[in-house]
Amino acid sequence: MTPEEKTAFERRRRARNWAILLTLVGLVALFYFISMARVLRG
Amino acid sequence: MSGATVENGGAQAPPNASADLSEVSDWFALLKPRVMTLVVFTGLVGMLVAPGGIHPVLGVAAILCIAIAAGAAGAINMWYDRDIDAVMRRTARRPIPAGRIAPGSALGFGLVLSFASVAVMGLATNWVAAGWLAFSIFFYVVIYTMWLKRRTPQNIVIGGAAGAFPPVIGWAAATGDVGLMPLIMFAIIFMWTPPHFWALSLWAHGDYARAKVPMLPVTHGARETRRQVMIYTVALVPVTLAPWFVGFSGLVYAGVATLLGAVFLAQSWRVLREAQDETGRSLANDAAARATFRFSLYYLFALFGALAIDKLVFG
Repeated sequence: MTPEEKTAFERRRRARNWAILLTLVGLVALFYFISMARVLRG
Repeated sequence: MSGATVENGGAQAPPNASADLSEVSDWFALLKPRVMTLVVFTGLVGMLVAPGGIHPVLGVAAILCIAIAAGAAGAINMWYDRDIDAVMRRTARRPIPAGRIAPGSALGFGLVLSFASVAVMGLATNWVAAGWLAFSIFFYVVIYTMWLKRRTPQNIVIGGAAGAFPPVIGWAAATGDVGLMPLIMFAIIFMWTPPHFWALSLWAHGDYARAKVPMLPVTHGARETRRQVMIYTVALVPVTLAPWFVGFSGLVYAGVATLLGAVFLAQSWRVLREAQDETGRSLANDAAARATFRFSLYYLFALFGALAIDKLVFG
């Protein structure tokens, strides 16, 4: 793998890891708000 | 986000020639975002016009589940159809045939999102909506993609039901029930799908022929396809007026539906009468079919938009 390919590989991996993190945080927020809405609705 | 990321993305994993080539955008593309737009919109309208209303947070969660489920079904569809996608010009650059995402990873991605969307829908709203959501995924993946698509030119007619479920699911999410009105909305999208898709297939028939997919223009020719576009449009227009007939919608909706129907009929008439050779192939670069396909997209947005406005504004 050339240095350029290695850089591109690392950039793609970093972007995917950020996407996973944001997805997980989004899911936590979603479950939190769903729970609150259901509790408040009774 | 996927198995591929984990397989190749460990901290100690040395980058090599077979490194994962996927971008985040490739995973997003697996979800067929353009199809998702229509699914989300019709699902939202089904939810908004349902009696009783829904808590906004739960409504957003339900719409998110509908979108994710549609995307998941799209990802599994791309996994199954990767062989024909590779030979069709329109789809050859998709992430799987282009080699940027491994087929198994795409399947895993689709399955995980399918189960997650159904589970969250059930927990956030009710299990009637979750059941309809699960059935819509099953219908698109198994009935349409695996069973009908490669076997019959009626694939679009029956398979079109898969895209017609969102308003039913939206309605069920708000009410926990399914009555006459969501079934009418289902019928509208069901009847709209054949002229919409066959208009596209008129100019994409070369792709389908290469992939040996028995779309109507491939099996019965362009002339018959033009006739069927006209027939289904004629059948569609009275169905779109059904919300007014049953007293659910008022004159605003009826007027918009009539106007839109008249334009759609005129477009389909242009497709039928366009300059063509003896087999029905266009001599005008399929201009009428392209215009009808584009219009049909706006048509459904405008029709469902009118349904929502009529109910929410004019009550």
